[in-house]
Order: sequence, then C-alpha cells, then structure tokens
Amino acid sequence: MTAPRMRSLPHPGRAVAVVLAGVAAAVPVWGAGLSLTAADAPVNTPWSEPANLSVTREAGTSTVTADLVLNYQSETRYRKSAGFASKGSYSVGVYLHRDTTATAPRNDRGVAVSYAGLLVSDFSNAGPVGSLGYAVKLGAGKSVVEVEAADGSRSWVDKTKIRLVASLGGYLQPALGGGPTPGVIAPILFFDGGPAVYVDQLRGQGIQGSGRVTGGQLKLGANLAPMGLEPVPMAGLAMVPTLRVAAQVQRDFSASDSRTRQTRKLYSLELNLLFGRPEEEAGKLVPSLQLARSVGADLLTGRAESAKTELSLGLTF
Amino acid sequence: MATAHPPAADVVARLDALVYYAVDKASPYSLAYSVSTATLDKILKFKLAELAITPQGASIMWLWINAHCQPDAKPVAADVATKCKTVEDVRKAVMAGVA
Repeated sequence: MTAPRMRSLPHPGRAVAVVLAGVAAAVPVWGAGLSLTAADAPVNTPWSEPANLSVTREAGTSTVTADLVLNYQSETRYRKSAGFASKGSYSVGVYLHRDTTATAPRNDRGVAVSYAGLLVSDFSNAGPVGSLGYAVKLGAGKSVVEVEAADGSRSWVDKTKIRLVASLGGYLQPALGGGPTPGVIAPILFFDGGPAVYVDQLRGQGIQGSGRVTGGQLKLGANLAPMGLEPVPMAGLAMVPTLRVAAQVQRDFSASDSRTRQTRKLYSLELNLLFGRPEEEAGKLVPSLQLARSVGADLLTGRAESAKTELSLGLTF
Repeated sequence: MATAHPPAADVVARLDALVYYAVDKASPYSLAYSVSTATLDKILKFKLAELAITPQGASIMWLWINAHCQPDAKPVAADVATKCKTVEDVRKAVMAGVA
C-alpha cells in the first residue's frame, strides 16, 4: 500500500512536477541526481470530495447546477459491552449547492459539523436483523430563500442560515425461515426510517423570510429486492431490480418572526435497476436506471411543495 | 498486515467464533450458531448475498467484528471490508489483522 514509486531526474534543479495518482510525499535527494519518491495515495482517506457539475441549455437559456462538498471524517471509534456494540465518528466539511434555474434558484454555502454513530444490540441472532443509527448535525452558512412581500410579490434573497438536526435511523430486516442454500439468492425486504428534531433559523436581508422554526420529523421506508441484491442474469442482462416506498412528515412545533408553522408531507416511490455485475467488472461502467415519483415538500432539503416524476440514468465505475 | 507466524490456535478459535456469530447476526437466516457445535466451515463457502445479507447487514457484521476482535486482531479497514463477498473472504480479512 505504501510501496514507493521512483522517478529519477538527471540534473538537479530541474523543476519537474511528477504527478502520480494521489501523490502523498515527494522527497528530493540532492547528489548525483534528483530523485523524487512518491507513495501511493492512502486507500483510506479521512476526507471525501464528492462533487458534480451540470449545465443544461433549454429554450436559449443555460442553467448551471453544482454540488460540492469537501468533508473530513475522524477515525471511527468502536465501543462494546455485553449487550451492544457501537461505532461513531465526527465530520466537518464545507459545502456549496448552486442552481441557477430562474424559477427555483439555489445558492447554499457554508460549513457543517456532525457526529454520526451506529449501534447494534445483542438480541438473539435467530430474530430479525436490526440496527440503530444516530446523528447530530450543525450547519451554518448562507442560503437563497424565496420571500413574499406585503403586496404579494415574490423574490429571492440571501439569508444567513443556521440549522441543527438530531436524528435516529432504524433498520429492520425481518427474519427468514429455513436455511440458506448455495447458489440461491433470496428476495430481500427491509424497512428503515426514524424520528428527527430540527431547529432552522434564517436571518438578514429584511424581516420577510426571517425567523426560527423548530419541529419534528418522522420518516419510514420499505425496500424490496424481489430477486435479491446479487445481479441475476435475465434475457442476456444481469440486473438488480429494487423498489422503495417512503413516507415522511415534518411538523413544526414553533415559528418566530415572519415564518409560520407548517406541516409538510413527502411521499415517494422509486424503481431502480442496476445492470451488470459490478464485482466482476471492476473498472467498467455499470449503468443504472431509476424511475422516481415524489409528491410533497421537505424543509431539510429545501424542497418546495411539488410533484415530480424523474427518470435518471446513472453510470457507476 | 499478515503476521510472520501463524496465529495461536486459541486466537484462531476465538476469531472463527466471532466471525460466525457476526455473520449470524447480520443474516436474517438463523445459522444455528452455538459455541459447542459451531464450526465456521459450515458457512465458509456461502456468499453474503446467499445469506441475504444487505449492505446495512454487512455494516452490522463488520461493526460487531471490529468492536470485539481486539486484542486478538486489528479492526478491518473499510476498503477491505467492502471487497469481501463470501464468509471466507470475511474470515481471511479478519485473520490478516491478527496482532
């Protein structure tokens, strides 16, 4: 993992940038020549940098969507006792979410600090499979929000946003009767979801849209993989179909200033198809298809009340 | 990191029992784990998918292993864990970290 790669340069002082995949160290040695050594990039990096950028041109207008997150995660700490095992880690990161769509612009940028953990109890192994996740996340930054003036006109203004969310995430996979059979992949059914509480505060740029909202959320999802999660050859293709149904409700406990208490509901139905055999085709692109229908609103993702049907084609490698 | 010497028999037995127990915990099947009768060979060749272990089930399995494997072995790194497709792969990954 750390075997050094060598590059020798004949003349000292010749500045050459040698870029290997993720250079971790470059050590010049002055003598007969200049040697640069570079270790492979560490496999387990404590940081992650997922990012995507897309440009859409429609009816003579271009819109840009960008999501950038640079995240640092601490080392995972494990704990155990006679009755449970748990792990947890801290994260700190910066984010930028930008969407220039005129009717629904988005411009969120800021920092977020979080702690997330997973707890597994030592109930009988003959029963269902279960776990409990827990997370606390504090984010602070700027966001563009839509406000309504006294005359009913609407506009988008930049607000300072602080949000705290504490959540529990349960997982339950019902027990299967009988025993496993070599070569047989059983259908998979599992449930997820749980409660959360949130505090969301917006300040600055006038009274409209400013204020604090506190509330609670409950989310439940059911997931079915009728042919299991191993790609099954069908009609010359190997694919994994999965179905997910989810429902979520957010109920504000309080609202201050110009913000009002609301109850938001969000329902979704997703059909996913993953093609190919990822474990046998490392390095190759594996296409996936997702058809999703969702109706409702979500304060925590910034989704206004809407109904959407989305067809997405993905590539995983 | 592989050790220069083969691990002691009692360490192997403890880690085998831990792997069996963790796989049993992550699988919705009852794999009939028992301290007196358990031999990991019974399930060693099974793919995790054949045991109906989901990605979250695999997280549960690795959490249990990594929380209980010390001091006999070091926790298994996430990048190694995600490559394990069979119970045998899991056992090898755990044994590779024997202290």
